[in-house]
Amino acid sequence: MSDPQRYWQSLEELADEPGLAARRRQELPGGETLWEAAAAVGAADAAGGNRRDFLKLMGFSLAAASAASCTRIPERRAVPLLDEPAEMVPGVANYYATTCAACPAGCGLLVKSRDGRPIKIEGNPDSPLSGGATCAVGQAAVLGLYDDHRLKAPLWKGAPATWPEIDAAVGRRLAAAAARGGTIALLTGTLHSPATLRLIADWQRHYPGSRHVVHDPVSLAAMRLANEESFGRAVVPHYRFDRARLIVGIEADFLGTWLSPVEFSRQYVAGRRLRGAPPALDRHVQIEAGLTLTGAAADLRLACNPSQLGLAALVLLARVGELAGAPLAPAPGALETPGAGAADRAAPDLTAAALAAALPAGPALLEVAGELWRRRGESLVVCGANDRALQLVVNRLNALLGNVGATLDLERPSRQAQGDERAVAELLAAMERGEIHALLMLGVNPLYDHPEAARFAAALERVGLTVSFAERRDETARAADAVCPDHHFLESWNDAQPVDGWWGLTQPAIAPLFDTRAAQASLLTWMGAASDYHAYLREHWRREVFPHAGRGDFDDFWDRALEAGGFRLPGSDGGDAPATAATIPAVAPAAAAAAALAAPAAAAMSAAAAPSPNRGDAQAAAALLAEHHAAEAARRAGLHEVQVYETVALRRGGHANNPWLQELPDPITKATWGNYAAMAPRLAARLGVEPGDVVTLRRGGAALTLPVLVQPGHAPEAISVALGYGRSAAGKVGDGVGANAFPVLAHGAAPDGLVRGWAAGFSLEKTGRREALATTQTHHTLDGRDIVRETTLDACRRGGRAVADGGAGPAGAAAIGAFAAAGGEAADAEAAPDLWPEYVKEGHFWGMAIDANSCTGCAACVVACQAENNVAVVGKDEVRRGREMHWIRIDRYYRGTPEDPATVFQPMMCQHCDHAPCETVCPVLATVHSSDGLNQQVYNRCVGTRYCENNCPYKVRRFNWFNYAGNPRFDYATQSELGRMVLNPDVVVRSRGVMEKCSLCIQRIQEGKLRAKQRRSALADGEIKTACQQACPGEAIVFGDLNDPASEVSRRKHDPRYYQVLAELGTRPGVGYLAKIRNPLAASPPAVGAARTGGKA
Amino acid sequence: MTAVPIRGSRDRWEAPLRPELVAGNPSPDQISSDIAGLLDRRPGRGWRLALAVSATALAWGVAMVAYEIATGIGTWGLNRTVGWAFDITNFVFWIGIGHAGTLISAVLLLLRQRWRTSINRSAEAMTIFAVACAALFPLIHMGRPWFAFWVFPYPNPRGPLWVNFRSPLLWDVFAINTYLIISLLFWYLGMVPDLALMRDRARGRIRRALLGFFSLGWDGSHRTWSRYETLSLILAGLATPLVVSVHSIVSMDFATSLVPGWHTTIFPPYFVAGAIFSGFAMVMTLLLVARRVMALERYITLRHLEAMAKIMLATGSMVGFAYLTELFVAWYSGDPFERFAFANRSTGPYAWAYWTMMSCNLLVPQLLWSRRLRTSVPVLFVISILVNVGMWFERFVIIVTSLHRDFLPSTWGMYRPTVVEVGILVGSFGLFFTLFLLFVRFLPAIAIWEIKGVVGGAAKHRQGGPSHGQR
Repeated sequence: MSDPQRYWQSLEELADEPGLAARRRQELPGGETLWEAAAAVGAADAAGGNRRDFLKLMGFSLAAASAASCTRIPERRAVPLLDEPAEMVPGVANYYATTCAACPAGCGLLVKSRDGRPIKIEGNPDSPLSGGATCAVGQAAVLGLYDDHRLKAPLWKGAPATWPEIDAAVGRRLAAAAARGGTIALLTGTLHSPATLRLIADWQRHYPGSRHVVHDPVSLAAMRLANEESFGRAVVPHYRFDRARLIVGIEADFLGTWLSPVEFSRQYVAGRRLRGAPPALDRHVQIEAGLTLTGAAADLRLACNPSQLGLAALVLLARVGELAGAPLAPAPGALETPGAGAADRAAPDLTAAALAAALPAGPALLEVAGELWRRRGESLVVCGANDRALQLVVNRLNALLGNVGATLDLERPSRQAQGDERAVAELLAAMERGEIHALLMLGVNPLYDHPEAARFAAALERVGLTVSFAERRDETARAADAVCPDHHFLESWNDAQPVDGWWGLTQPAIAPLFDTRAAQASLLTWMGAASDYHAYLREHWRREVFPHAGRGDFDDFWDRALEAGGFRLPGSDGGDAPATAATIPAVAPAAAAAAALAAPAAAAMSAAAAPSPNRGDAQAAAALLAEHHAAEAARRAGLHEVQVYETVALRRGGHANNPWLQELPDPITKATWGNYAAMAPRLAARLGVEPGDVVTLRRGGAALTLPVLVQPGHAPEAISVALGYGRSAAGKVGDGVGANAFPVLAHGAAPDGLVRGWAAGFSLEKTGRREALATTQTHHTLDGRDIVRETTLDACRRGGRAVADGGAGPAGAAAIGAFAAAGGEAADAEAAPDLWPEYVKEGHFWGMAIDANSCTGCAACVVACQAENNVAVVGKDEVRRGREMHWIRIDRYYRGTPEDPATVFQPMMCQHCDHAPCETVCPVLATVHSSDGLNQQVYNRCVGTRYCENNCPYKVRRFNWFNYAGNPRFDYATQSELGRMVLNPDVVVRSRGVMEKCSLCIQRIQEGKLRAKQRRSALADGEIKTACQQACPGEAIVFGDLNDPASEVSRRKHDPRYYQVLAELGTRPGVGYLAKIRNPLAASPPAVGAARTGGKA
Repeated sequence: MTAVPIRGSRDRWEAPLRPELVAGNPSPDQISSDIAGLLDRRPGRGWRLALAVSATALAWGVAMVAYEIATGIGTWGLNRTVGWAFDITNFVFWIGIGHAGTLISAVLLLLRQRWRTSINRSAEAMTIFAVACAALFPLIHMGRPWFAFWVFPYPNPRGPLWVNFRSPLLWDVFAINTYLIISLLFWYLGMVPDLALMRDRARGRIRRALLGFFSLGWDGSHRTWSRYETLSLILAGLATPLVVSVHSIVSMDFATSLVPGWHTTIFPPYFVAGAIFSGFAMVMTLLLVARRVMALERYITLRHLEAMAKIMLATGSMVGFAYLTELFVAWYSGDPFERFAFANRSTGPYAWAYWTMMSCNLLVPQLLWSRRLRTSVPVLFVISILVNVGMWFERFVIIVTSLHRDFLPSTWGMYRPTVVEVGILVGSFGLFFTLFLLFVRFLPAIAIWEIKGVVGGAAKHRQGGPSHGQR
């Protein structure tokens, strides 16, 4: 540094200050730019030396520039698990047992959690009620957890607030109300959580004068009232469809939406399996207005207008009564029944024959009654109508048949459907009078689903404090002073007792995502108690449930119960140990009659045992007849009966913002995204309306504007409309979809204040507009093709085994011939000569077999598949264009006449053909066959020519027409950070322009194989379950190894009922079907009989 | 040189009744200035207007394609049932149009049909433009067109991943590319002597340099001509099988599938006949316009038109026969799916398309039995347009009506085109006509040297093939 030629930059440098050189060396890392450094070097270079420095710097800059120009994937937040939870292994799913709260059925669930977030709901096999099965709504519930429209914090007067602020404001007002002696009302939906009910009891003690009113949008209060009258117990019985050899359903969609469809489907399907020699099968008769899942499953379905249902039940009762020696007789009071028209002035003729003459279905009903009597003690008449008279008739029928205690259990009743519309009406009146000072609403949305929502809204204004516990700003929450968002059930602690004898537990599978609080905790806080509902729940269990367990330690008991999902009363399978006739308190004559009639020989004793058994019947009969005549009169005036019903997907509208459910095709109509006015083809023709014509149904203030859907098999004169649509404050998905049908119920009230599910006197006006329905299936008959096969029990007995009745046409006839030859058609097809080389089938060879006899068409599999495989939601417009993405669909076909069709379901997914037509045509080998029998789609390789889609005879391939994951047009579920949490990390989200399809849940197969490998043992049959199989209540879908002769799928493959769809094409599908067996009555219309031909519906 | 009619010539090889190929027997110089001189003049108003319309249509098509590629195939009207519609319809339609060129240039050359000389150049150009239009559709119909190169079997670092030689779509790739390359070569090489002529006539330096480059140093020597004619024959020999192969292979896209209405062995010959039929109809349409607009009536005479009309009549009848055979076989097969497919075509929701096809392709060409009609320019123009429409609908009927209702009634659906698809179809016409208009403006639309070979004395000296001299 002493070179005299050297330039100096500063005095310090000149002075050769120590440390300066060191500082300069540090400058570069410290942020000095390269230019500055280069300038410095340049200066040094210019000084005549330091070429070495220059070269060094140049080397550095080159290296730095090249390093900087390397593309790197932009960094995303990755939070390492520094504090890893003991039971959590990244990439391995955990399952937590809990209880579903998506509807009051309370099915047991296992929630699959990956890396701490619930991604899939599975059924809990340990649940005595649902036994591993779920329904579509339950499957979709996991998406509700990640709903963008959930409230993230409490609201006070519409503005975000903190919990202490809410507690202060609400607490002050409650205290003021209590101090004034004011009435605090709790309006809840049906609650069957024992701990919550106890908490409400505590609440009522703390706030004397408070009321608890239960509001069910669709009520079953009439049944409880009728049961109290008939049997002395105001309960909803626990039905045992599995014990009934003959089921007669009257307007009860027990396989689809009624009470506990998963449990009932399981019970029902158990009786639909061939058993014994000669083979036997249960029989099912359904009497209903609209075509439901349950009606579709029935061996005999009788379509009756809602106003005729009572008459139909009366025919049954009259006939059974005659057979039992207790005929119906007109009651003295019958003539005074209000509403009785001129036609009823004379005492009505209540003989079965006379009653039956008034109904087109009369002769069939008489035969059904005879069959009921033959099956007494092992039959079941079940009625879902909220009509006291009708329920009384049904009670009387069940009593006469000795079914009480055998197939319906009053001793351990169901705790569902506790709503009482009369109490709600009283509450409403009290609110209007200003007598209610505070109203707390839990699990209800009356401003949407009360028939007189506007009146309710006005009445709310007169209540001093209104609190909603809604999870979103729904219609009611918008009008409430305070919104205290409850947890989603996957975030909460609770218990459930859907049926006596079983206590289910709900445990959180994830910490609350938002600043929400359990409604129970809110109530506890406002009672001034400790606000820990978990502790309260445990304490309740310690006191109430633990004693049933006998000895032991409570903590152990609690942990075991949590693990199992609940606790079953020993000796009960959730309402098992059916009450015998003797255990029913003999407080009502009908119960005594039931006891007396339980023994077949005792028929003659009925009169003696029951002093006046048919007086009540006769009054009910008179009421039903009067109603029938009134509706007839209205119809003659050109007015229509409108019936409302719940759909499998939307039920009562609570899940309207769930796009999986909105896009789920209705199992019967195959319509998505909206409701419609369903009517019979003849009625539509008479009214001159076409499907898609928009009409207005009007009575008084209730006006429903909807497109028409022509529904084969619909009751001839009625129009039915689905509930659950027409939400205005559900969220971006559910708002404005369809029309709200609850106002129809405003006209459904009977004189006794009970609201039936239908109302007469609606006019129909055409608007002249058209609105295309978004249906996934537009053609409804088999067109004479041998695609769905079914047979009858008689045919099975005659042939010793089931023989396919392949519809009409040469293919069908050929199929029957092939069946007659031993081994079934599949074997024939496989023995046929083929151009292609045979696959070497070593190791596993996966296949699937679907038993059409066990498939009710409930569509749980469709949503399960959607959740498991990250299947995109495409919206109404795209469904209209035929672009739904579901990997599994349920084809529904009608046979017979449009007035009385037989309905068949056929779940259809990729058939994993051995000789797949899609594989040969793909130019880039994007779809190939695996060594274990799967037809695989390689998304990364797909260029999207859609040739495979064209060449697939099953049309199960789905093309990504758009970027569903990123295009803002498709912002339904999984485009937000929150919504994406539901995605299954094992399944890729497909990009635009690629084909996709069912993979037989290859991720599950891999997982199962790895598990077996790790534990060094062979895979057991049934260890791997596809998502559709797991969800299926009927165990209709079985997946397994076709190379394992002992597997269930192999067993099914050798069933004589086994067939493959379109096997004649030589595709050799890996998925097969077992033909459906029907068990028709002799009087069944030809449409459901054996000698049926496929015709156009 | 005075006009010496060929009729009555003493040449024993010449049929005495054969009409002259070029009206008025112009001199070679006259021919050169008639045809090449067109290119020296400023384009007329009609040409400019036509180009403006075509380019607008092309621009619209480009915009629609850009929108489709940016957004997804969902912008089209396809669905889970109908996976192909306008895209492949247009593809097959354009490929068919492209057939006439090869037939005229190769097969008729080999068969020494010398009347072809006036039309072969434009027919070849049309072939290339049509094949270019056609090749566009398989590309843009892909869900991910940016990966279109995956259909080529080339060594690659992705595995290597290979293509599926069982797939007819892959055969298409080979067939179309082969056809495009051969057609391009044929067209270009056929133009070399004329390019040389234009080079010699050219005034601007750039023009002369460009033409000089593309005329490959043509010197008009005897040796050049000899090699040239040999090459022409070789290329014609190579191209001839392509007339049969390309559309046969395209038809196998359908024939090898199992879709009822597609799965039929009649498709290869039926498609080839249809392709020639539609190709000639398109040549006819274009030439009828071109000869009028560019005053080439002398070179494209009624005799040419009549010969083409006869080919249209023959191929149209073959196509019609194939339609009827298909119907018969569907009935005779007893296969309910097959029977339904044809019943659905003729009576189902797309019956209007089927009957459009039937009337345009089966009935309308039968008018050409009448000599009066087939020598009437307006009648020929209308018929050629109708045949083009009919042949487009043939492909639409085959593709859409077979797909929309196949095996499982549950999946039956309907297809409706969207604005985007219509826009792309219009755009493909825009592309075609834009290219064609540029072609007639910048390149000799009629093979000058070949014309010279069939007029006057040259015609007497040679019985076939091109003449050996020009000046």
